[in-house]
Amino acid sequence: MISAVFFYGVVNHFVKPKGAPAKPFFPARRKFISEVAILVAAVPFSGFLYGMFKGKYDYKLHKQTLYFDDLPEAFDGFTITQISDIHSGSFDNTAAVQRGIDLAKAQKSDLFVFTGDLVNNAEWEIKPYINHFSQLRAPYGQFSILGNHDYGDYIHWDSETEKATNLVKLKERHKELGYRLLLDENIEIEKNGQKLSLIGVQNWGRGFIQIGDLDKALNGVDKDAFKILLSHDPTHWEEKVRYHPTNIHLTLAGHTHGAQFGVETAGLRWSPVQYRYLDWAGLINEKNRYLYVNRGFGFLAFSGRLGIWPEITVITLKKGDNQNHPKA
Amino acid sequence: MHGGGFFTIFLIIAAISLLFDWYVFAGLKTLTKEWNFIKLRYLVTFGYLFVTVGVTLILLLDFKTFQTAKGMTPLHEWILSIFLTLLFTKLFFVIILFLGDIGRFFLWRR
Repeated sequence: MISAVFFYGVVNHFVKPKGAPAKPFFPARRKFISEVAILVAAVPFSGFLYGMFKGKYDYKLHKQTLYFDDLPEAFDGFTITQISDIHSGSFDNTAAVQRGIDLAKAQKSDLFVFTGDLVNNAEWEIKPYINHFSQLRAPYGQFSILGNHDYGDYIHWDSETEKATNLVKLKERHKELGYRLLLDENIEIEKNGQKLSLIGVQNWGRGFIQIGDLDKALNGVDKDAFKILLSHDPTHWEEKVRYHPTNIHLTLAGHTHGAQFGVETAGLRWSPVQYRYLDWAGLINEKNRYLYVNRGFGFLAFSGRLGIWPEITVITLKKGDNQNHPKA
Repeated sequence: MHGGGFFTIFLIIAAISLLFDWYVFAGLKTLTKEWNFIKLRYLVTFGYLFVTVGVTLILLLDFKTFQTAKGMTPLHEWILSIFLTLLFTKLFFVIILFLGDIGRFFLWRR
């Protein structure tokens, strides 16, 4: 139909029907339509500009309180700050990034976790920000995992050795940040003599690198332990974690960025990424197995965010019956 | 999908964008037709064309350097973002003009 109207427009320059007036038809109406078009087009134009200059650093705090019957008493009220998808190679305003870090620091959570994609492609991207992100500290430690962008798969390397060296150096960067990188492994967090298991897997994503090994990561974990999993891609939860014989109470993910574009209001929640990912942002619960998908701290490709703002998540674990706190 | 596949997709999007440019350019010409200052008319219409076609060309030229050892730099991302901003703006502009043209087309046929 668009082609037809274009064709009509071209033909109209050369051919006029019998009795047609010499002047263009309804010139005033055409001008009015153009004026309306300018006004309508100004909306996405100004919106995108806002997203590029302000929105991408407009950090939002998302708080979630989750209730579990089998949470060890000692962890009642335990708080976790999560950030994800830093994508440091995209930053262009260090002061603005620091504002986000300050907001995360101000939460003073018990535990800090980072759920992957520290860089876009290469380890050196994080170098200018080491002193910034290393400020994120928590009494029970800082833990991280790798995301699909951390393996250097999306750029050209002169050799496989160069690519492998990049990954080795990236793991060193996590150490410099003070983050304990969990590569298909688990650790125990102890509080007042009680424990919970924190498990971290390498990337496993539908359509992306799938080297994360959940079974290996669970090796040595007590089956009755309270378990929190860090897994970058939410499709891992969709396809593996929620059906796994081991009950993993809470999975923390990122990856989708919420497409950095969308609408989230009380009555409407839409992003184009929902056509690619079933679980693309926020909290998902299936048979008391929770997934939280962080919208991301950074941005990638589109140097902006509109409607889906950069996120810092604070999760509070509470002991109790989650059926009595459905909206918590 | 990375590399050649993406470049082909961007070529198609760039072609659509250039079609939009032609349509929007016609709309801007109509809008500015009765302006007294001819230089201002030319500034708006041809200035628009210069910027939007220029951004499209820079994006396509730049795309080949995305796959270097440095990957996509903030500069690349800015160019892509400006392109997307203009593309969505043009899309809205074209939809309105298109609806208007359909109306004019049917009125003209009567």
